[in-house]
Amino acid sequence: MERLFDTRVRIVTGKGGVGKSLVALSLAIVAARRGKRVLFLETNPPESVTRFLGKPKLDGEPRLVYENLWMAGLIPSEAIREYALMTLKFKALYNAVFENRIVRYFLRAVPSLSEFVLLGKLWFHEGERSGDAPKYDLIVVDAPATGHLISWLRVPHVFDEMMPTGPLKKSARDMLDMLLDPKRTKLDIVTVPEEMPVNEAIEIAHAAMQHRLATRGLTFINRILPPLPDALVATLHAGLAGADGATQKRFAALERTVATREHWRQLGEEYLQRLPAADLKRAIRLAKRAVPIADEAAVMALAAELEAQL
Amino acid sequence: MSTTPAFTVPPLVAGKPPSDLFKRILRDKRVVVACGSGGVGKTTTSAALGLFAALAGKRVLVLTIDPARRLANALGLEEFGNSARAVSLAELGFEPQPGGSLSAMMLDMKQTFDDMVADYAAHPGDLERIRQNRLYRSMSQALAGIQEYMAVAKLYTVLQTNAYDLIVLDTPPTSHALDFLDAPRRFVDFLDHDALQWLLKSTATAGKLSFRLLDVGSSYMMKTIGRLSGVDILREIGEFVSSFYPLFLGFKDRSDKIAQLLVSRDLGFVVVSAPTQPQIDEALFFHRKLLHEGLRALSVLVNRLHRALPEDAVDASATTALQTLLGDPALAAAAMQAGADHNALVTAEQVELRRLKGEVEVHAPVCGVYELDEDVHSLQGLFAMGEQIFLRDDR
Ligand SMILES: Nc1ncnc2c1ncn2[C@@H]1O[C@H](COP(=O)(O)OP(=O)(O)OP(=O)(O)O)[C@@H](O)[C@H]1O
Ligand SMILES: Nc1ncnc2c1ncn2[C@@H]1O[C@H](COP(=O)(O)OP(=O)(O)O)[C@@H](O)[C@H]1O
Ligand SMILES: [Mg+2]
Ligand SMILES: [Mg+2]
Repeated sequence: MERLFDTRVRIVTGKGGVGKSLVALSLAIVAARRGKRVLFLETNPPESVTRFLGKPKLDGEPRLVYENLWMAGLIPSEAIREYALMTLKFKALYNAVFENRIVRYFLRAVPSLSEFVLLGKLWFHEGERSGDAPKYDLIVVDAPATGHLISWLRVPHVFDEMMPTGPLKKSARDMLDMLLDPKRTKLDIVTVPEEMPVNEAIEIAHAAMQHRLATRGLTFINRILPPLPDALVATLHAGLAGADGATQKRFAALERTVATREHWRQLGEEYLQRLPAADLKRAIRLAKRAVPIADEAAVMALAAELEAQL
Repeated sequence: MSTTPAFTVPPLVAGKPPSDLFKRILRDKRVVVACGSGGVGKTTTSAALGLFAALAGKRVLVLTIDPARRLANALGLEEFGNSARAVSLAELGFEPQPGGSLSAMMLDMKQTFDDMVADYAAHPGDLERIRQNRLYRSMSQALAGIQEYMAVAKLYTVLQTNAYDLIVLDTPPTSHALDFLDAPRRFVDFLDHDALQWLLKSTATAGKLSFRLLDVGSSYMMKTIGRLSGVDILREIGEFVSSFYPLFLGFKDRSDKIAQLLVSRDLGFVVVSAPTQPQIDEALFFHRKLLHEGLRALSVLVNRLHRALPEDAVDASATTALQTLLGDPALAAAAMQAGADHNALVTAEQVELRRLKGEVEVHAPVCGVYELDEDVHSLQGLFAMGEQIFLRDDR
């Protein structure tokens, strides 16, 4: 599994709220701890993971946050500007064209363009060098949720098909080279043991193949309820059945809590059974915490749990 | 619009009168929109409201987007199709009030969009040309807010039929609940923008495919865009816009009407949330947004709350009691741990609930809904959930 960090780019996705950001962040932390130079890129900076770390929000410029770990946001307006400047070469030309009311309007109305340049930015960071070596060994992308991710990664295909020639076509080709090379890019899927998130994980897995988005990497199953000892539910039930009224009253709610928890856990495991059939086999399991992860210590603990399974 | 005759809300189940929220919906509303972030229970809540309103004698349609499979089965919704299905209430074991009926429809976004394109395209030839256009093919999926727009567009169409007293609209699982509210307006803005008008005007006067974008192909600006993009894309954009001209006008007309509908008094929002920090943040955000728009939430629901275990089930003396009961220290420790985890969760939930109430309650009632022992996959399940929201518990 050490090869995990030999891939240059890991794109982490899943249904909204399943823990994509935390899993992506944990991956980045583990790799950095192992001496890789890591860039963590976030695609929805308004809800920055830095809130978990007690650090200020990210901007477009990579910032060193821990040893070996840089973090930045992928911000569409910045990326469009940079891309245009790069292609047009001159600032005056950029201003003349891109500050034009009508042009700006159409750029906004065609959503694919901002998605395209965000991939361009990722591609740029992947190619960044310091001296002879790549500047970053590994880039972890905290990617958008399922639906948006699929349209995002399809954009270079669309541009490639649509453009006869020109710089956009060339960029699209470059991006596809990066995305479709299994040595360079892997798509990691995060899910939780619930019906919809599991369905979406399967949907992404299919889409990745069908639409040639990227090579699939790992599956992360987050928020797994730690199982209770096998005998607990039954023994508690039997014990209470034979107990006096006061004891029954005292522990009735506890019995129900324990039974309900087992019920939800088993239901979750049933949903997870669908994953192997969709070829989502090798999975890293992360336990559900009693309270939501909300601070640096809890993030570090999640990273440690992940690392133990590599 | 039919006027509702004066009515008294019948007690639905022995001893439990309707809640104020439910009375208000039955009395004043023709449309209730359930909104909130993904996975919190919008679809389930919508179905539960549909069920209760039907029991109270309304002809109800639940317009749903993405029911969990087990709930879909319970509602007899095995497939998409944009057509309403009657839901039999027989398994509940009691009859709805006279006239009451429940129907459900699962919305097919792509179908709705294609239907609208077909409705508005001026000539069959246009329709074909639009469908073949690569830009349309990639855009009909990618266009920002299209899902949200489709949901309201369908709502509008169904309302026109007057076949229902109440329509409950479940909304798409957007991570940002407010996209939904903005979608029709974004459309109107897009269509109203003078840049588009400029293009369309030149398109309309210059005739097919010879329009300003290409006419000015030699201009400085267009040349530069051409350099960026390649020329064909410009032609495709032009073709797209020109074929879409009548369609744009139709969309604009409907968007205006939909925007009016969203602010009408017949329509109310129920914000659904969960007692976890990101979901409460979203609910607060959405609630502020509603206020800002001059709208009011009928209620903010906090779904899937847990009840605290009694103190004496988790205190120090419980350990010994459990050891005696279970005859195994390891099992007793596990039970204690499960109890402590549970109460820690409840404490965190109550913090979130208070935070929400502190801001929202002066404007709209906050209603807590406890998690059921099972996921909701039957009319009984819907009833058990709806009971907490729509009936008053006068214990
Ligand atoms: N294993 C876990 N145990 C407890 N809480 C968790 C766990 N994983 C995630 N959470 C909680 O779930 C919430 C969502 O996590 P996160 O922000 O990483 O999700 P996301 O998939 O990135 O969401 P979004 O789609 O909104 O970007 C957070 O509040 C976090 O505290
Ligand atoms: N109060 C509740 N008790 C138990 N399960 C619930 C409750 N509310 C929702 N659920 C379950 O949670 C899952 C998600 O609910 P759903 O209504 O589909 O959410 P949304 O429409 O907001 O995405 C479903 O499996 C549903 O049965
Ligand atoms: Mg996130
Ligand atoms: Mg739903």
